[in-house]
Amino acid sequence: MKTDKPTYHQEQEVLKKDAPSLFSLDKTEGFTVPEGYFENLAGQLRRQALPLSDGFEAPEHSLEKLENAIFSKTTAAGASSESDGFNIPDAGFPDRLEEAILLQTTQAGDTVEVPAGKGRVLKLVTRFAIAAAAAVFIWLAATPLFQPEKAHCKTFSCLLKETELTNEELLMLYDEEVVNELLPDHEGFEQMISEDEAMEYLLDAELELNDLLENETL
Amino acid sequence: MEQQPNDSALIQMIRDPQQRTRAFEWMVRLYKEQVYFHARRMVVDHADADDVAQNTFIKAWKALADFRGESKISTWLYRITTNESLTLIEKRKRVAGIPMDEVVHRLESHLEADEYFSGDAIQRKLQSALCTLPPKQKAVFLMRYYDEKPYQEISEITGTSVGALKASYHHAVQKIEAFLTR
Repeated sequence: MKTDKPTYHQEQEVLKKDAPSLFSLDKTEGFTVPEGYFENLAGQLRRQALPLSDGFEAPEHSLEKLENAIFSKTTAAGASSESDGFNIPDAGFPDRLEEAILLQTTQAGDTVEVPAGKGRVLKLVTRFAIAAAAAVFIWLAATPLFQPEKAHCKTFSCLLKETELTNEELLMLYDEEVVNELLPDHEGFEQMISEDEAMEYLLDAELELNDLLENETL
Repeated sequence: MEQQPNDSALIQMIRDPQQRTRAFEWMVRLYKEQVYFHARRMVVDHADADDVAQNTFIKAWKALADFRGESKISTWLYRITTNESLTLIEKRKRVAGIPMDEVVHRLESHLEADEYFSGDAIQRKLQSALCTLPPKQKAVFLMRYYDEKPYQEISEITGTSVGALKASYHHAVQKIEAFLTR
C-alpha cells in the first residue's frame, strides 16, 4: 500500500506527544470473520451481481427473482447507477432542497446580499450563510473565549450581529470550494487553517454540521 | 494459473465489454478483504459489514461500464464503501435516536458477547471511543490511523480538502485520547 511514509511517521511522532495512550496501542482490532467467509463472499457476489450467461442454464423465473432481489437490495440502500457512489433521491430533489433552504432562511430572518442574476451564487450563499452561522453558534457555544454577557443570543441572526463578522468572513469559515468560487483572490485555505486554532475547531464542527444539515434539523 | 493483473491491466479489462466480467471477478478477489475490513471498522458488526461489502461490490458492478479509471480501483471502492457505511450508520442513528452514553454502553455489551470480536478490554474501549466520533470524522481517522493512507488519497475518497482532513484527524486523535484516559 502506497503511503506518504516520512510525513506519516513525522505526524505520528508529533501526535504521540499529545495522545500517548492511543499511540501505544497495538493496532490489531480483534475483528474476526466466520470460517470460509471470504471464499463464500466471492461466490455470493458472483451469483448476485454477474449475469448468468453462456454455458449456464437458469431455472425458470430465476432471472426475474435474482433481478428483484438485487433491485430490492440496492434500492433499499438508496442505490443508483451513479459511478461515484454518491446519490440523491430523485430528479426533483435539488428543487425541494432549495425550497427547504429558502423557507428556513426566510423564517430565520437571515438576510444575505447577493448581486442580481447570480442564481447559483444565491443558493450557495444562502446555504453557507446558514452553515457558517451554525458553525459560529457551535464555536461560540463551546469556546471559553465567548463572553458571558453575549450569551443572551438564542438565534443565528443574533449571533451574526454579535460576532460582527461579515458574510464573506463567515463563508470563509466553512467551505473551501465555495470560498474559491466566491473569493478567487483569498489567501490559501490551508494557510488559514494552520494559522488559526479557532479555524481548526470550526472545521471539526463543520463535520458535525454536515450531519445536521443532511438531517434537515437546522 | 492466470497471472494477477495490476491496476492498469484491470482498467484495460474493465474497458473491454468482453472482459468486464473477468475484471469484476478479479476486483472481488483482490479487494474483498480491504473492502470488508474498512466496512467492519466503520460499522463494527460483522453482519452489517457483510451487507456493506456486498452492496459495495454490487454498486461497483453496476457502475463498472462507466468507470473511467481516473482514480485507483482501490480508491474508488473505498469511496463506495465509505458512503455505504455512512448510509447504514445514518439509517441506524435515525431509527435508534438514543443518547451517546447509551450507544457506548450498548456497543461495549455487544462486543463482549460478539463471537467475531476477539479484542481485549482496551480494544473494546477504543471501539467505544471511535463510536463517539461523528461518522465522517471516524472514516477519516480509520483511513489515516489503520490504513495509513496519504491525505491526498483520503481527499479523493471523501471529497474533502487535505487541510480539512488534517484538522479533522488531529481533533479525532485528541477526542479518542481524552476518552481513553478518562
